[in-house]
Amino acid sequence: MNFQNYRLEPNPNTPGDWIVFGDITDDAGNIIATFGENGTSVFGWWVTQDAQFQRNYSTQFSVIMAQEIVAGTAE
Amino acid sequence: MANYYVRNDGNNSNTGTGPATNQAWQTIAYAFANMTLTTGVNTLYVAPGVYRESPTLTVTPTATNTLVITGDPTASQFTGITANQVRVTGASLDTTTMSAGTRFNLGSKSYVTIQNFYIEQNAGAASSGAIISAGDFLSIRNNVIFSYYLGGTTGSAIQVTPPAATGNNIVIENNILVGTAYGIYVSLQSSSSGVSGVVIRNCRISTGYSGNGYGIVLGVVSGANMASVTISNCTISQSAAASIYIDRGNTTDKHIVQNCIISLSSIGIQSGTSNQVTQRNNILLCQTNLSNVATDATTITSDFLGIDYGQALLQGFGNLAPFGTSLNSRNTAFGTATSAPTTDMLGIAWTGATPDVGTTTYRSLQNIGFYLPTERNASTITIAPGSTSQSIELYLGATGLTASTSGLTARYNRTRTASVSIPLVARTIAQAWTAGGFAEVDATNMPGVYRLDLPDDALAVGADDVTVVVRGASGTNGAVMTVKLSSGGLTAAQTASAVLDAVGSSYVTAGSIGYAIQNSNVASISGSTSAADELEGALLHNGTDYISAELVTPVTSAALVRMGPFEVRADGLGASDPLDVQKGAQHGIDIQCVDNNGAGIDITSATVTAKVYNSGATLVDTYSCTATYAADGRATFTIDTTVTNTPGTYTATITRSTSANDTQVFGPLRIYVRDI
Repeated sequence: MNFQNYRLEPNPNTPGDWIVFGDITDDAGNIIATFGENGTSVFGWWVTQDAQFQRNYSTQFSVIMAQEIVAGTAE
Repeated sequence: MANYYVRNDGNNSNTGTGPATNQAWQTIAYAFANMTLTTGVNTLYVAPGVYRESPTLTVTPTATNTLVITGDPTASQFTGITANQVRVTGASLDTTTMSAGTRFNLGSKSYVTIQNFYIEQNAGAASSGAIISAGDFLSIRNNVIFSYYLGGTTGSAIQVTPPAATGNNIVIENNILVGTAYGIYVSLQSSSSGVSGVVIRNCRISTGYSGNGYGIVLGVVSGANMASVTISNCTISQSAAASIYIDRGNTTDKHIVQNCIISLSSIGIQSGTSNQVTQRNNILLCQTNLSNVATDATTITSDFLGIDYGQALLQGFGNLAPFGTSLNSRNTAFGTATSAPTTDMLGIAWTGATPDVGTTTYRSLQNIGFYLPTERNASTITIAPGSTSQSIELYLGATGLTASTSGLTARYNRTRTASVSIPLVARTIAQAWTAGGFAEVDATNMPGVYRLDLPDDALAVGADDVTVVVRGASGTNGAVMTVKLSSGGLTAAQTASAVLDAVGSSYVTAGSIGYAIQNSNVASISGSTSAADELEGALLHNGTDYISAELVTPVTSAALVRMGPFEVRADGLGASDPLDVQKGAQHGIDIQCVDNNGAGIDITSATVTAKVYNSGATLVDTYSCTATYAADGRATFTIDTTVTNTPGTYTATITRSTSANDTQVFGPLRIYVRDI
């Protein structure tokens, strides 16, 4: 799986949110999916996932949160 | 050029210009500030050991006064130090963690090579790195870096931020990087085109464990473009963000990523924008292999990485180079030779016609052992064959060895014969010889030297040499000594030269052969009176002494030899005897002109000449005769090379003339000119 025309942009309507743009291709370069013409909001996508998915990634995210808290770099 | 040395047991009050303890400096930091760099390549050697420091380079190399900072893990430059890693760490103890910070800070210095170190670092800050530099004309190679930061997502193993230039000449190669956020971070000034001269190759990178983790990052300080960078033959894995992230490039001179194995990362190769990176001949296995980088037919996505992670050794079917191409792997010759290194990270030529993919080609290490560079004695001495009760001294390096030290054995072999064990027998240095006797000479003042008593059979007559080996104990490479079995060791030519060129005055002791030779005492020389008599008989005797027989030696130039007197009879009746004349010589010939009765004819006031004719009756030369006893007809003349240069039979007539009307001819006298 590869990305083409990939980019991230801040969501102008939702502070802290990001929008993912680009095409998802196979190794032959064929487009097999896209993030949509208007991109995909991370926040919007997140809330559509099931609880187990959200729990698993929250666990990983908590480690990074902890690192930043300990380092004093967390807001 | 100048060489400087650092070792743990050195001293910063030393000059630093020699490798010995009383010459070398103790810390790298002191060397970084006190080296005097002269024209040429200056080298700082750092001995094996642990250096708990964070040196900053303050001396300034230049294009003509370059600097190589090199760990010397094999201790090739040092004595009394065992080969080991040259470890530079920020930890004050090995039982604690270290504070965050940079290890080697090269500042903005250029024209620097740094190599052969094992470096430990806690990154801890975005600007920190195990090695950081803001210069160019750099070579960072053959280092192993363990760099981490448990508290966050910043820091680099190698961080280079060179000044703005289109030719930075930076080579980062053969490094193994483990841990931290960024393995290699290169921030280049913008450049619209041209070749930057930045090459990253043969690096094995397993870094970027945190959310912001990258294997290699090419960033840009300013501007929209970045000069081309080549990344070749790297093996990168387990990057949380991307194995290779390239911020920006340019579409006319694209970055190149080739011959790499990139696996188990979120993204394999990521470019900030499209069409600025050429990737080819890679093996990819990531969640997203390429982002904004075009696919290529020479690159494959495969879950067979073709790497030997240790399975050959673990499962007993080989001992391969670590993380190298596995046996019969597709990786051999998978890469392109264009812009690729000519050898793998271990300096081994690629197995196939083109490079492998990854850092390390297929290579069996079955017969490769650890390198212990010193303490092997391999010398030759000479002992007369048939000698008995002989002891030799060997240098084994380690102290404290005894005849019963575990593993220590001794053997010898004579020319073209099987080896023979020498069972070791404990001895003290002063004890008498016994076959296999083994003793340490002096552990304090001659450490590492041992006596070995050779069995008499080892030195028996009948072999050209015998080789003795002592080895097998821990801490020594052993010793090899070849004993040449010779009574003198000189060749025939050397012996002849020694005798015949000897100064005679040094050998005049009465009764010695030298004295006998110089006094021609044949009986003393030969030990035989009869031999002396025979030799004397072969010499000429001048009435007083035996003299040289050189008279019969062919001469090579004209010499005057007096002959005669010869009676030369009147009226063509001939002469007393024929003459034998040496070819090419002059001869003084005495003659006596006699009558038919043998009485001398008075030649007083007469002109006497000798005319010499060849066998064809042609006059060859005429000689004037000088009277020696005129009243008795005696005179002499000298025949010369006009005649004697040509061998043959000649006749000479003697003419006595007192007036035009009074002439008599005597002779002829026959003369044979020949080699005598």
